[in-house]
Amino acid sequence: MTENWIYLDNNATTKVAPEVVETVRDYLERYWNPSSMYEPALQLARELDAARATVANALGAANRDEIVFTSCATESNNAAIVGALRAAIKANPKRRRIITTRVEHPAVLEVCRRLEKDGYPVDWIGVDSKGALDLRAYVQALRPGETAVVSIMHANNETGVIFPIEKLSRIAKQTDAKIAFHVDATQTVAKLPINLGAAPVADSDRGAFGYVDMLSFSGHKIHAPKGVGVLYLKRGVAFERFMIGGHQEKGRRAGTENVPYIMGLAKALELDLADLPDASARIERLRDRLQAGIEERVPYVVVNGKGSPRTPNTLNVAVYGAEGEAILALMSANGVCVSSGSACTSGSLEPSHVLTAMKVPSGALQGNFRFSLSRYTTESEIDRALEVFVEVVATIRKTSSKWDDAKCEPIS
Amino acid sequence: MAWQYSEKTKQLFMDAVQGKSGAHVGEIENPDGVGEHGSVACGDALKFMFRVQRDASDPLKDKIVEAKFLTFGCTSAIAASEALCRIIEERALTPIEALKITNQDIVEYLEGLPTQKIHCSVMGAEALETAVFDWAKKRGVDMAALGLHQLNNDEHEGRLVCSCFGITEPYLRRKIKELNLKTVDEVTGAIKAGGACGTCRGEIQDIINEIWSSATCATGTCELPQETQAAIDEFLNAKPETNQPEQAGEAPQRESSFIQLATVTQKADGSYANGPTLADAENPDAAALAASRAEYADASPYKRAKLIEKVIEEVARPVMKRDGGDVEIVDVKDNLVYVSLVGACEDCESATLTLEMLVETVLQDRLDPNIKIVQI
Repeated sequence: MTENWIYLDNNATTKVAPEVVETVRDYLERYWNPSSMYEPALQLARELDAARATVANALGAANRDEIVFTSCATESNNAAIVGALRAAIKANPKRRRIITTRVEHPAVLEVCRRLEKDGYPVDWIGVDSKGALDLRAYVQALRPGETAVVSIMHANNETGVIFPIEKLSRIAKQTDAKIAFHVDATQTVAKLPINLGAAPVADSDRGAFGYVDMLSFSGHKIHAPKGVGVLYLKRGVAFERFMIGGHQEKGRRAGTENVPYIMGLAKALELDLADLPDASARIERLRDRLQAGIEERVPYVVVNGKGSPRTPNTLNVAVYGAEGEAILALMSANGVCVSSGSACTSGSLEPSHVLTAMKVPSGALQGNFRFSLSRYTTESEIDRALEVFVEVVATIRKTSSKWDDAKCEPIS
Repeated sequence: MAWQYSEKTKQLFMDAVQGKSGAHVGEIENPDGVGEHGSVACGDALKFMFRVQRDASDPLKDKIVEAKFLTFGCTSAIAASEALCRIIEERALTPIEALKITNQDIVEYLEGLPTQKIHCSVMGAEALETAVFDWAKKRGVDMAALGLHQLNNDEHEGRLVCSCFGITEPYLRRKIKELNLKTVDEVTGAIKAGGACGTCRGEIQDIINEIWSSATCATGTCELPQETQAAIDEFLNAKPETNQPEQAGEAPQRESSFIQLATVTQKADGSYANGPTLADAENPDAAALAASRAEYADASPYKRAKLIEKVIEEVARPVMKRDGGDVEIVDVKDNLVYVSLVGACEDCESATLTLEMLVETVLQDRLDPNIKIVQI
């Protein structure tokens, strides 16, 4: 079933690494509850602790206790924003504002929308046409004594555009050290350097996240299974737990630990980081090859986020005169898996909020595609995907009432 | 979200896009009827056309013999367009008979559509209606005499209810009655209204309530007595416009201490020769210093921001300009001054650090030792 597909949707989920499958299987058989008091369970608890140390090391966290295991990045994001806000209000009722961006993943966006409805003011920071954050609006939104939480993604899941977390977190902390700075790093852990222990000497020190208080990511974006995530909580950060009903994770996240998946996540992180620089460079070359091929061979195409720093594995393109979902269906029929943020693909009838915020022209907004690669992607897969894409776009355009095939241009 | 389409839908889509024989993608030269519906901004747009075999004596006996379409849209929009063409050809209908084809016929032909995709079938029925009226015009058929009126004229007229999809109140009312829509979700599924920002959902609910509560017959197509309708309209029009769709997620309006710096004036020759030096900036007159600090201490937040601006403009900026750099104030909050610094060499971190120290030192000396620079 997984054999013949060309899988280029790694920002949605990733193939579980064979080594991780093995690890998970081993621990599935060791069913003990790590909170129990007999030797096999205690042994399991020690191994769980080692996994926590592995994750802490991978992120450069000073203490392993700063790593909290959750069920997914969505839970981590919910817990971070709500948990920090509740703690902030308790300490100072006036501190109740949130700052986030218009292009966050729904796991942050909808949490903030809900809080806004509940009466907590949210400052929504926009982006320009290249996807870069409006730094001035951000600075103006920061309010000493009032801003409780800043939540900004490291890189966008749709376009791969990277936000300068090093600088944004420093500005927040210089404004008011009590502001809790949260980063959704779901698309960047094991792809970009992240060092939570390093205070940046200069904003150009990539990955120096010393000013970051909380950071979220999930296992299934890094070749571990779905159903496990991480929330980094810096020591001393005011936080009120989200999941209640047990003492696990030092009282910060109730619920029996998902030991097999946690062990799998730690294993995956080790594997990813072992060849991060090499894999990253290779993936970027393949992405650039695909991008160049599409730009050369598909007329009326735009690369979204071009000109901004992007994650090496992500390519978002928009084509004029054809709708995304129909193209996806035909790509799938040809064995290629990609995704689209067109209105028809989503359940909401609304096109991608990210591309809308970037003011992608409406003629191209409904025909956008995301190709996202992984370290398992091969050159021949990229070449085949390019052939299929070029052909499928041409085919769907022939059926379109908004494409003039004779003139080879869109009809407005 | 992944859509689960019926096998029939998938098959019609594949037949259409692969140009299988018997599929209906394309255009007819000089068609007898053409109708378009939808737009790119809405996510789908259909162009439908047909050719008839003309009856020599009576245009009403014209038979549709060929139908074709071009569709900008998703899998189900393309499949629904293909289905519409097949239904018409298979049934060998006259254009007037074709008017009886409803979106429900298309849904049945496709063996079902996901609720959120029902609008694809509605789009087909709308384009068909427009095409038939186009035929009537070309053939000189007096549709009004037959008791037929083009209903979808209201589409572009009247008050806008759903601004995301450009849906007007008359159109909304007609579709709610025609398609027997009882909930806002059904309305969204059928004609998209309320499906994007969602601010008009309350208003749609009001219209649904009004239509179905006033209906006294089972089909719900009764009209209200004219006076009652007029009274309701008057009431609705008189209502303050509180339902204006807000910009989703717009940050609340508030005051900002943002200051835009005027461009620095240069000498005629473009140079800053004889301008103040770093030493000048650091060694102002002691009495003047005390005075400016006292002025800052007593100033209002607005005045403080102006003083900060003045010091930067007069002292720090010329020094920096001389060295090929520049400084711009982005915001001032209490004692925090947010500046954008451009060094002579943009990538040189140590140069910008020096500049940051310079600006901070000058401001602390002249105005308040608690002032901090935040570089953005």
